[in-house]
Amino acid sequence: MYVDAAATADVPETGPLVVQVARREIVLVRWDGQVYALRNICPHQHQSFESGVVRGQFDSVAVGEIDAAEPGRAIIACPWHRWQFDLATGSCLADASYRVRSYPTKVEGDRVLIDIGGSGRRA
Amino acid sequence: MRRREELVQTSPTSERQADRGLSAAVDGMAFHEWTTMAELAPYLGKGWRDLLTALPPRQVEPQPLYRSPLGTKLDAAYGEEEYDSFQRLLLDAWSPDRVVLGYDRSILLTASASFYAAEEIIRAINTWTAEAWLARDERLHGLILVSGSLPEVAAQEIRRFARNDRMVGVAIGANALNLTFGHPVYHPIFEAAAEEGLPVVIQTGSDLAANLLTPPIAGGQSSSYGEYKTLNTQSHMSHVAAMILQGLFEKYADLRVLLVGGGLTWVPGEIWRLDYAYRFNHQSTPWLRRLPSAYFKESIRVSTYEMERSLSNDALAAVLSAAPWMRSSLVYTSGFPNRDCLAPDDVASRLPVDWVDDVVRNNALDLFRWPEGNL
Repeated sequence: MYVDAAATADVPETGPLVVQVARREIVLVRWDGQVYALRNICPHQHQSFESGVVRGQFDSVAVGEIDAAEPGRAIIACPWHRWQFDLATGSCLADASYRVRSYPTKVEGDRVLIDIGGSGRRA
Repeated sequence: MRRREELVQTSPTSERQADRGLSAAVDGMAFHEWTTMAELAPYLGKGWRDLLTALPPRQVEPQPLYRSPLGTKLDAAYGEEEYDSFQRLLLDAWSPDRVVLGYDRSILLTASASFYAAEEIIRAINTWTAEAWLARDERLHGLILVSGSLPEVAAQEIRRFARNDRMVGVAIGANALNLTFGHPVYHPIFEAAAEEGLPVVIQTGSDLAANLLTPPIAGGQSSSYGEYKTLNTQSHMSHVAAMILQGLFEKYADLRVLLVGGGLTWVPGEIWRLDYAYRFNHQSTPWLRRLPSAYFKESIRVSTYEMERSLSNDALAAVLSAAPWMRSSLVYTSGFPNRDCLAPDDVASRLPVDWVDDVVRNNALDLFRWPEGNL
């Protein structure tokens, strides 16, 4: 069930925006034209992602090599201890046993909607 | 009282039998050593033989900075009576199923600045081990000594013995180039070992010399043997962090490493720190696919020599209970003929009961890729 979360214009280009949706605290992030929604609880120590760092996700196909971030692939790092999570899946990059709940999003008109009943994409 | 019991239990001169219902032990490392260049001379090329036999013995080796004033070896450990002593005190008294022969002072050669001469001596030592030692008892197995100074030459040496199924691993000591063993400069060694299915045994003590590129310990030169023995764990800690984070086990997934001589209680703390740091530094090493602890558990083993013997069994059990996965990591190594060597049942008496068979036997069988069963 998609519900209204925020005005599209209120979601910054790179930094996170924390909103209340259906009594849940959600962090919205815009990256490469897409808006992502995650539960605003870092699974490490239950801190907020507000003021967390968002940037492209590096990958590597060989030891010693770092590939440029693929368009559309990004991470959010918790501002407290820098644990890093895939924006799309909510999966912790270093340890997939940790995961932030992610929600499908869509833009209708000038509003961002999120599916709070959706399970989100899993790693 | 306890101290006296310890002395009795750990003394290889005791006539007690090792087997008190234990499975036959597999000793992951006891030391053997040449004494005079005459022993190696038959295995040296003629030019090197003429040169090296004209020099004082041990001239090519880095010289240890510190010595225990009372000596660290059992009587008759090396020299003319070496094998008699080895047979009586280890093979007969402890009845191991297999013994892997490591190197004592010769491990210093792996970081010698006289690398060409060291390579020639190392080649001779390997042939001497294979021909003069392994023929004496079918339970004996050898390690291929290699130098870190010339990794490509080391890889050739590994392949020279790779078809000898009595040579079951690769021995290396100090990081000859003052670069940790995670550095790609050493990859030819690890690549050859992984391709040939041989574990690499990294031994502390080989950095115990002033004339090496690598310092014996971090933070500055220690001033006594006691300081060095306490702190030699540092080199293992550095190598473990580097090998894991620099992707050695991602690149060579089949590679296995055994750490010898640095104790074991440091392991849980380092692994916890590595995992913690990795979680917030993932993007600096994105070639890793798993937590550092996962690489450690799969690829690295730790010798029981020199386990921290000042701990009570309860205290040691408390440490180990915090890292139950070490049941698969610990490998019994006697450290014979050092005076602080440990018999199999002495190690067993210090471990959780359900760990004993794995630590004293099974983990070594797995590491050295031996099939289960006695010889």
